[in-house]
Amino acid sequence: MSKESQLRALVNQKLIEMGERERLKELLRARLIECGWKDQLKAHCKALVPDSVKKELLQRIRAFLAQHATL
Amino acid sequence: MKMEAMSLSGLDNTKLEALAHDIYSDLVEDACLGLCFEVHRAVKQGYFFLDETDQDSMKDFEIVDQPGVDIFGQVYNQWKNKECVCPNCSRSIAASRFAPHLEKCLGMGRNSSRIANRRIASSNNMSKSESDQEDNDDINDNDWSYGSEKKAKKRKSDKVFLRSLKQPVLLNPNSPRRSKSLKHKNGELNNNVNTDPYKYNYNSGISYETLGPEELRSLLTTQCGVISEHTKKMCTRSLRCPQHTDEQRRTVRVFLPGPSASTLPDVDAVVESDGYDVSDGQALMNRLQWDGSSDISPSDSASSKASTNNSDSKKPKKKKKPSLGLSSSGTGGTGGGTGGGPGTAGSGSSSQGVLSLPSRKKKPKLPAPPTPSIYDDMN
Repeated sequence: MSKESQLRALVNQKLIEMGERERLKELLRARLIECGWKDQLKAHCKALVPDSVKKELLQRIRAFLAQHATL
Repeated sequence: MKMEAMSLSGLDNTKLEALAHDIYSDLVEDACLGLCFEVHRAVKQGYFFLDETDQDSMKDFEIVDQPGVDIFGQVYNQWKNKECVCPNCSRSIAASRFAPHLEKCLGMGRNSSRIANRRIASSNNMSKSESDQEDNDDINDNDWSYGSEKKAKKRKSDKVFLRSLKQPVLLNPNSPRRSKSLKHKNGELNNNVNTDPYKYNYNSGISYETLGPEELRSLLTTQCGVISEHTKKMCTRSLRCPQHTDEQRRTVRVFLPGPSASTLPDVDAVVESDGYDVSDGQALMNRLQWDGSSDISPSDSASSKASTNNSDSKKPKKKKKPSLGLSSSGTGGTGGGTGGGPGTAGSGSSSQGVLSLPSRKKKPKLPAPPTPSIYDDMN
């Protein structure tokens, strides 16, 4: 509904103007770090890389090292 | 931009909730984006895997908490007590002093050449001036030579100055060696002392403690001699030096030597006696010496009653010296005539003045004998 989206836009604008958005962002960042969310997310993302993608990349790297053994 | 007036109060709760959630998820997306940027930077800079060190290497770099050692485990004053052996002179030198010592020892570095030049200059001066005096035996005496070396270092600048002015080097009337030769060479020394203040402007002082009584007297006849508060040295400028008043000079002359010391008015007397016959001038000077010394007394002591007389006549005395001289030469025994003499009672006054001086100094015997002889001469 456009009125709602309009409303949202308006509210966001207000938030930014008054600097409140910035404050909220900082607060969120601090809290997420405190509770370890960021580290968890990092680990999770690393795990999320599918095996196939990982294997392919490792292959490429080994080939490169073999090629340029003397650095 | 056209703003439509929208009110949040019109919405119901669920809608408000939805709105709030939306705003929240926006913020979380931003946070994730931020994380992505951080990781990307870490990977690019190569510190992404740093948190994965193994336990063993973690142990190596643990914080150290022992006494006497910093948190890295290093000892702070490890080299404090170490001593090094100098390769040049084979002495054992403390580590912190090693570098400057090496500089001096090897003769390299900025200061060492300067010091060497100075030493050469001063040893040249010393050997030149004292080769014909009997101070050479001082050199053999260990104590003296040590002390003189130390003093020589301090007076070094005096000698260097004189050297540059191409003076005959007999500069230091105040060096301890001087006092031995002084008795024989009083006249010479006087001459040199006379020339010094006029020929060089180096305004160092002389420490009155090292002067013998004769040196002191000769100094005071020619130089200002006022002792500076901070350096405890005597001013070596002329008797009319603008830095010090006559009051100060009189004070010094009372303070330091015995009452037989020469006094300020000598300068004026010398200046003004040019107009008189030599004999009269001499007598005048002698007379004025005593008058001067009696003058000193009033300026110093507030207690002596005789001083009131004298203090009055202080200024008139200076101006009326010619008249004093004339009257003294003319009238002889009646002495000071008008205002010249302190107390103006002739020999009586001067003896009185002179006696007031020793009363201050607690040396009652001194000036009495010479006074009659002066008046005898004049008579």
